[in-house]
Amino acid sequence: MKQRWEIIFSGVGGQGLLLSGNLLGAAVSVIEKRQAVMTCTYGTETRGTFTKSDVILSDGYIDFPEVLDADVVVSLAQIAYDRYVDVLKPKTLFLYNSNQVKEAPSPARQVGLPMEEMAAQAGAPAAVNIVALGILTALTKCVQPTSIQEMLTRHFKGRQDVLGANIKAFEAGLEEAGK
Amino acid sequence: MNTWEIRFAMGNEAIAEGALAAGARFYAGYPITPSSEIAEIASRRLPQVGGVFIQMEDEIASIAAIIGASAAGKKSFTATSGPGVSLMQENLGVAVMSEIPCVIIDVQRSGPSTGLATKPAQGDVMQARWGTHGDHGIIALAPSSVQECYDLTIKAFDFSEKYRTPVYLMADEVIGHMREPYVLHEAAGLVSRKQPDPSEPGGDYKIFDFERYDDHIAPMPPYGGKYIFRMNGSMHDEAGFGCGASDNADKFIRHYEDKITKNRDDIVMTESYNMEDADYVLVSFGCSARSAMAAMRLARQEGEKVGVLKLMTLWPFPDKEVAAALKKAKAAVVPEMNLGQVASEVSRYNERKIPVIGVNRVDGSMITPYQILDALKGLYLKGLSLKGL
Amino acid sequence: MKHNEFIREDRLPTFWCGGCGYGQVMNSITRAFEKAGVTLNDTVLVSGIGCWGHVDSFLKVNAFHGTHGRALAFATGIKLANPELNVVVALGDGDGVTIGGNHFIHACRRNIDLTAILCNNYNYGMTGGQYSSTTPEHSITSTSPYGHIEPGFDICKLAEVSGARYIARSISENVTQTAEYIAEAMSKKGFSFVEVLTPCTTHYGRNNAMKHPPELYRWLKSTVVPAAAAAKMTEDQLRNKFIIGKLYDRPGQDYGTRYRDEIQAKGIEDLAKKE
Repeated sequence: MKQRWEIIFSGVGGQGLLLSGNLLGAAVSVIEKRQAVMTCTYGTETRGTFTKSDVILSDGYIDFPEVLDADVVVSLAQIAYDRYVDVLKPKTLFLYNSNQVKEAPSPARQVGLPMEEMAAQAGAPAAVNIVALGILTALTKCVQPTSIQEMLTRHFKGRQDVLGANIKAFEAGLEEAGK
Repeated sequence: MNTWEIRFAMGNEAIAEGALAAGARFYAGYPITPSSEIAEIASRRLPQVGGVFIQMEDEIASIAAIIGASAAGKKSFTATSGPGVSLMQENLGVAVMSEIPCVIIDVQRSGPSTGLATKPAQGDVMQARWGTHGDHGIIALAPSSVQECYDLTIKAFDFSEKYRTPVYLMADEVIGHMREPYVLHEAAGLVSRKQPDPSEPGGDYKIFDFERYDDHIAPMPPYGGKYIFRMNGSMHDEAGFGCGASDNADKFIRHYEDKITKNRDDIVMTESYNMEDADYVLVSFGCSARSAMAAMRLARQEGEKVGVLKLMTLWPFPDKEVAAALKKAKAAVVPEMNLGQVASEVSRYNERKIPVIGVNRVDGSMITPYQILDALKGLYLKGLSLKGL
Repeated sequence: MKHNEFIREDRLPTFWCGGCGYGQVMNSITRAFEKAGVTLNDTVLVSGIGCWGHVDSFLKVNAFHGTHGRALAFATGIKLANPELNVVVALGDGDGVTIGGNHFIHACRRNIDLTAILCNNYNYGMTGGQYSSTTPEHSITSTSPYGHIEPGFDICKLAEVSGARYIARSISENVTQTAEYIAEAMSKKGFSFVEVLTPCTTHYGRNNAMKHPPELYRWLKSTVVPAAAAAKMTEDQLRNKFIIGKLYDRPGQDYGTRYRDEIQAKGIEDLAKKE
């Protein structure tokens, strides 16, 4: 199994990119007792501008906390996709939300899925970020699905209906990517 | 040591939790990016443990309030960033002059003035040392991970109580907002300010009579007990009465400096990585230490003997440690997100006059490991194959 | 304790000039201390910088002598950290409402349980008689040699609109009256404010053709109107006059009590234990 992952979640403010990164980092570190670091970049506005979170996962000490050599880039919005589409390396998995993004040629391995549709079908139209996390989990196996589910349970503690919808969204991502 | 919990959280949270673990029970502050999470957490957590939070009208009042609360017996702290630290310099001097423990968290951002409010920098190093007017010693610690945010905040309170001095915790935007796992644990061997010997009679108490004590730190009872005392931000005598005598002023000002510098062995904390055989030494701190660690890893992968000296204490400056690190090296590189504030200090302890190269960045982005390697490569390691991005 | 027992006789005489009103105000404070029944141990006098800021060194209670203008901010921390303390704050006009104006309005607004005694002598006495935010228009000061062109604050009105709990104004010569206001102010929970008009004989008097202290005292008296008389006067008649007396006394929970009550009412400490 690969020991070190450098992952970027990108999109616009309000899409829950910080939550995706946070859940992944917490699942790996708190549940699986490995190392994780997350840093964020966002505009001064809370919503609508380019936002990303960098997550690095490793079995050992993580020195530099920002992604230098991405293994995976997730883009939920066109402005985020456009930033990365032509600068990525062939080894990078470029995962994008095809409901928002018009595909262009890229050196990276592109996988586009209708994440918004999938979220809506799962009954959680706002959980596009969680669908993306499910897809990422299935395609990379960088984290155990049960670890993410445990963190979702902790995060949505006391909000049973929201939790159920997010678990479904996560599973929808897992299943679709597993096909 | 009792472990309470492991959390994946941002440095600012670890700082607030570290303060509580250290026994802090009073916070006064004024919101400012990128430190505001500390105030938010303090406002929620302090009432849960019998403490008090207050948001003051500005940073001048914030530091005044924590100094007052500390004189009344509570371990106290505030959190801010460069613009707020500038405003706090006035009353920081009161804490120095009245020898009142308090902790000032500075989550550094780009300056001068309002600067780039959301971007990291490490430009407050010299302000922490010399920002308030007049000679004095100061303690400043710099965390470079979320765990260090927690641990060094506890240390900051301990030093503050032990030496009756204000202490800075100099985080930066990267470390403050970065999320990492950290262990919340019981703070072992917590220090609280020395109290007068119970046999000492009540009434008028000489709160500045440091010469009576071997360690030159006078006990500090709280207001409201059996001792009556006077705190004073003006030059004063042992009892806190205004005193203009030149020998008295000389004694106290030297004391403010000496009580820190003479205890430097206790206060200075550094960590060395691969220093045993290092030809090239990277001296760094805070978020830039993470860049240095990555640069070291990449250089070592190519067989280059690069080591890192990480400074966790910035003031008093780790002079001996830096001198020792430079003793056998061919060159030193100092990556920092300012234009050379620590590099100039490093140069002062460079006995063999080896080259000291700064890798500096003030554009609000982290120094990448490649930039550090480029600096080494440009001058020495011609064979290094790594390229900057 | 008797009022004279609060005075540090070994620190006398004070360094205040002949004819200055500060000795009178200090006398009022010790009489108020006697009346309020405070002890040396449970009282902290917080002072700023200026001639009046030295009052703490002539008294036996605990003291905090901080920076110019910040006394109320230091006092806020002291009081919130230990609500059992009687925290009395000595302010001047330059100190309290010029450089410290922002702290003043916010301490009033928050209703912190402090007793502030502000001596207003219309100028910066210690630094040579420059104008402050209370200096009357047209006055000559060392920085308004052609006559002052700014209007001065009515500090009691400022305190009132800012939310102070109790407000009184007196004149330093009326030692007994001032002592009664200070004692009453100390008995109130919340931000209590007493302004005392005091003559600065060395600077303000001399700069404004009142070379001899009695002239300055006479002038001060001519600028004030007792509250009862003021009630019958027109706005025109009250122009440029200061109303003296007990001006304001309203109920209201002080900040510290409210903070603690809210925590208790919401069960915040217990919630934390359950977490």
